[in-house]
Amino acid sequence: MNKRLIFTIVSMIIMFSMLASCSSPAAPAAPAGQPTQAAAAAAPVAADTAAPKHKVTLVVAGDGGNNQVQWTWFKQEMEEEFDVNLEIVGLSFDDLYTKLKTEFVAGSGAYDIVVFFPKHLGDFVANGYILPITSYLNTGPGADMEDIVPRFRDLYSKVGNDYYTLPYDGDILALFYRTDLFSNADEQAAFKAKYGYDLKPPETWEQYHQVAEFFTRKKGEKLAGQALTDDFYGTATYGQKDFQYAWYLNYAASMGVKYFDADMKPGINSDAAVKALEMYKQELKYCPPETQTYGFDQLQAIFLQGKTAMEIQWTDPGRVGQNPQISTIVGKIGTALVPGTKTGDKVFHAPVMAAGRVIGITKWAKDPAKAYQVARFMADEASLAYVSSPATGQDPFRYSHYKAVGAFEMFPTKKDAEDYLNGIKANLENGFPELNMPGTEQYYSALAIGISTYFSSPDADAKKTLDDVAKQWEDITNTLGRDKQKEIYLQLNQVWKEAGISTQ
Amino acid sequence: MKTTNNIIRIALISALLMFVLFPLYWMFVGTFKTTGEHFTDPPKLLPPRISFDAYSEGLANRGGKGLLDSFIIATSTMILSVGLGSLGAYAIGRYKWGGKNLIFILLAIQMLPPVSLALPLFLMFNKLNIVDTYPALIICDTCFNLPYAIWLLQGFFEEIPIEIEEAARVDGSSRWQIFTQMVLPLSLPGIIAVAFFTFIFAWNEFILAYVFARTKVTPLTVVIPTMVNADTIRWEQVYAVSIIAVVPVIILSLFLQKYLIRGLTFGAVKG
Amino acid sequence: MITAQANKKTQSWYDKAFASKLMTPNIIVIIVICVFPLIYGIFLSFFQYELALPSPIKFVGFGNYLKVFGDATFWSAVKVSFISVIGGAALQLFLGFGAALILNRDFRGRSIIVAILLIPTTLAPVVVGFIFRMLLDDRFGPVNYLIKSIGLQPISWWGNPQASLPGIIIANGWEWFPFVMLVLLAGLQSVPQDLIDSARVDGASDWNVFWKIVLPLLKTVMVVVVLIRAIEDLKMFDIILVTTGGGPGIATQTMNMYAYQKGFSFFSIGYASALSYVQLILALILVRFLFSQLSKED
Repeated sequence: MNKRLIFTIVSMIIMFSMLASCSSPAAPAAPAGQPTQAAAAAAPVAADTAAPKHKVTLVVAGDGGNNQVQWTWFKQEMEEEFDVNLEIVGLSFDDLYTKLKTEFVAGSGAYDIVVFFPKHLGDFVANGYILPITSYLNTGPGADMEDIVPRFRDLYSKVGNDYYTLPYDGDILALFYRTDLFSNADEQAAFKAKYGYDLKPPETWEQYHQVAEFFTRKKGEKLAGQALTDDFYGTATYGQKDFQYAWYLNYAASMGVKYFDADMKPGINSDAAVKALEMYKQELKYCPPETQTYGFDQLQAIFLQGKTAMEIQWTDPGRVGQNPQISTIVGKIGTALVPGTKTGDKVFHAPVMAAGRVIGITKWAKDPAKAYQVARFMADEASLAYVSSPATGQDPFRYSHYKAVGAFEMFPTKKDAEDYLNGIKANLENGFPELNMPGTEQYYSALAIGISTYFSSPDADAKKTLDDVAKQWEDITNTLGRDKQKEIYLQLNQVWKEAGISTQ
Repeated sequence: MKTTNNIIRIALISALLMFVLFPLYWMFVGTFKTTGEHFTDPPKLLPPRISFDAYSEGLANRGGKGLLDSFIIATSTMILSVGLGSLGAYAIGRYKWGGKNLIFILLAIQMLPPVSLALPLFLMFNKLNIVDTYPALIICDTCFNLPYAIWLLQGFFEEIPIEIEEAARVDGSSRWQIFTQMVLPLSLPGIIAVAFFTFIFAWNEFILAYVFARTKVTPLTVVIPTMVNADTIRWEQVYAVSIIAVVPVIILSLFLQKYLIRGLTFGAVKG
Repeated sequence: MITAQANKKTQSWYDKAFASKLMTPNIIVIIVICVFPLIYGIFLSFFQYELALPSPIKFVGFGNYLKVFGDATFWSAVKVSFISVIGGAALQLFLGFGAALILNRDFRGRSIIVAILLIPTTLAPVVVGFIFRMLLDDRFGPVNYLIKSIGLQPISWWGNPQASLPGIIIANGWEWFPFVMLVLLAGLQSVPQDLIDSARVDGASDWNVFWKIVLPLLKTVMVVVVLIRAIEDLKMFDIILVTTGGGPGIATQTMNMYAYQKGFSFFSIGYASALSYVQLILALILVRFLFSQLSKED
């Protein structure tokens, strides 16, 4: 009957099958970016000024909105100074990794400069998507690396012996507390009477729980002499799946929990890890009942509306809380180290450097030397302006930022700004890194789901939860290739060790 | 008795309207708030101020481009789906092409979870270098629209008495002429309904856009989630852009209400 | 209905060549966008193909499928998907039927009310998700505010695994019940009035008329509308993504979301493909079942 039609269809199927067979398996196995490429391009930074005929356009991709707005502030300046055109591309925060990764896998070369979360650094480097920049840093102009808090600089920018990225956003978790409540004489006396030591920002998790317990009060009870019109809570925690693991790791890391051991066996179900998870769940007693639904917004709001005495959060409440339009506690916010665990007579703190952002240069960059210049400019000269601005979401990461007290204009007094900056600096200096290797997404997803399920089912068992997570981690490692993963993890450990984090 | 019935009816209708309108009202009020005001206890149910900043910011913050892209994609999808769909519907409705099971096979396509096709499609489009282009989204949206378009249109075509076509045939019109000059104009109401639905489908489509849209082509459904940042969700912009996205659809649907109702109910009641 | 034979003697309508020409562009689009990726996806599902690491691709035969069947997360997703389909159908049918009954009478302003009620169906699901995420927020959302103000215990919509799926079903139901309403309204209007009148004359109460006459006549329409909604709800993705992201834990993670996560955030291409196909087969079974209900009615 209609042979022609059948013929057309069959030939189309054949055509596309051929297309497919050449497309899929070979493509991603493409050779990783050779370091030599960068080295070759590194030297002639000066030679580049030999007036190229037409301007190269560099595409900058990162999560959009207030994490990217600062690129537009400096766009013109950079375009003139480095003789390039810049195109700023905003992706969504939630699936930044997906978008970058698919673009990299596709090898489309769409992006020259990428701003991303350092937990994906390992993936991007192992696959050769981004270029090492050590040679640029050495031949100069450098990015004033000494000025950057070492933990952040090395844990999130270095793989093996090479630097691959420049810091852009020094996210860190910190402890915020109500200075007015902590300095109230009645409360101080009551606290001392009950617990036998002075009321002050808690240093250990035990103290943290006690302070939280102390401040958790029902509607009608008195707080600092005032009758409460609503329930009041000691603290609150982050509950959404995307980052809750970081709040758990605050506990776990301070108790010495490791992601893996030297044989790539998961350390996430060790006794310490189980104890950390149980302790973390205990904290819920002192949190608002809905704390498990909190994302960033709600967690910040509950504190700024004066309903909790403390909270562990990214650095924002300290700054945003100075805005009287949305905060009832202006000038009453103290910043301290995230509590830790006492070993001997020392307290070990491990505030997690959750999220954060770094700038990398892709191997498809049209002009890596110029891309480096742009990245360096943003990470160095431009950085104070954006980390101190209320319009952006970026956090300080340089010592010069912490010293520039005057730049943080949102604080009522200089002293407030200083206390805040010192507080978050101390946390970053003790920062504990997120896992940063191929499969990060999968490892963390398994952990996050484990924690979330454990929290939302009243009779769940911590040991069993974490054993299950460990089993999934083993599966992930085996699927991705144990030997290779181990090699990458050990390399990662090396960097961590150099930065002063015990790894074994 | 009758008045109590009426009172109950009015009460029920009011409750229904409340149920439907309150979420929309909440969204609208939200566009007048600023960061922080979305999270108050008790919630702010009245606009704290009247300011259209969120709208202009939302439009500037890729919303304008999103609107344009959505429009391009939805319109092209609409034209293609109606064009191709009417051809197919005529072949099936009038000529029984492919036998009576074909329509069920077509409907099976409607059932395919787009996620299951997204992966191979992505690899394929990538090879063809059309990820992040209009054609990629348009052709996908068209494909997933076709079964519905064909299903609806063939019903409309079947309603046209065959005698008219036969008479034209005797008068010497070609089959193609009959189709374009008689059948299509006669089934205009059906075509309008299908056009409207395919437009809305493409306008609201999310998952394929989520996978294939990147930076050059960013329909609204993909732009809106980008207003969710790590540190703040710009709720007022989310709402403002959502309203901007919704208004054209509402206006269209008010104008085309009778076609819309026909299209919505036709398949189901007939089936 | 016109059949080929009936027209043969006049002017053969059964001209396959012309019909084939008309169908060709459709067939091409469907093959390129549906059939080919489907086949390609099946091909991929037989490989261990991980993009997180530059590791070689391995042929594993049915390995991925075996893994799917042993994957507790997947079975949880199956459960969530089916609950959301069944719960969604029940809620939408309940609201839609109720609304249709209320509106099944002529009164002034009826068409305006119908037009207003239809607004939700024209919204993008991702927008609906965002609205309900805030509406149902535990502390800051107006719904819990209302619940609290009448003295009840607020519901932890997004935090309690027992409440979050209902939350999603409500959001989705809000968007789609007007569609069900509209279809049933058309169905109600096709119920012959004299049938009802004669029953009334025989002394049947309103209630009896509804149960014994109206409902049986509407059964087919109801099955069709449930079928349409089931097909669509099984594909639900956007609302869940923006409200709970599948949480708490995996309490609201559907098959769709799980396959997406495996494919596009873990880049386990082979496994994600296998997941998709198992999902497709389960979807086909469900629809097949509903279709069989439909043909029973006929």
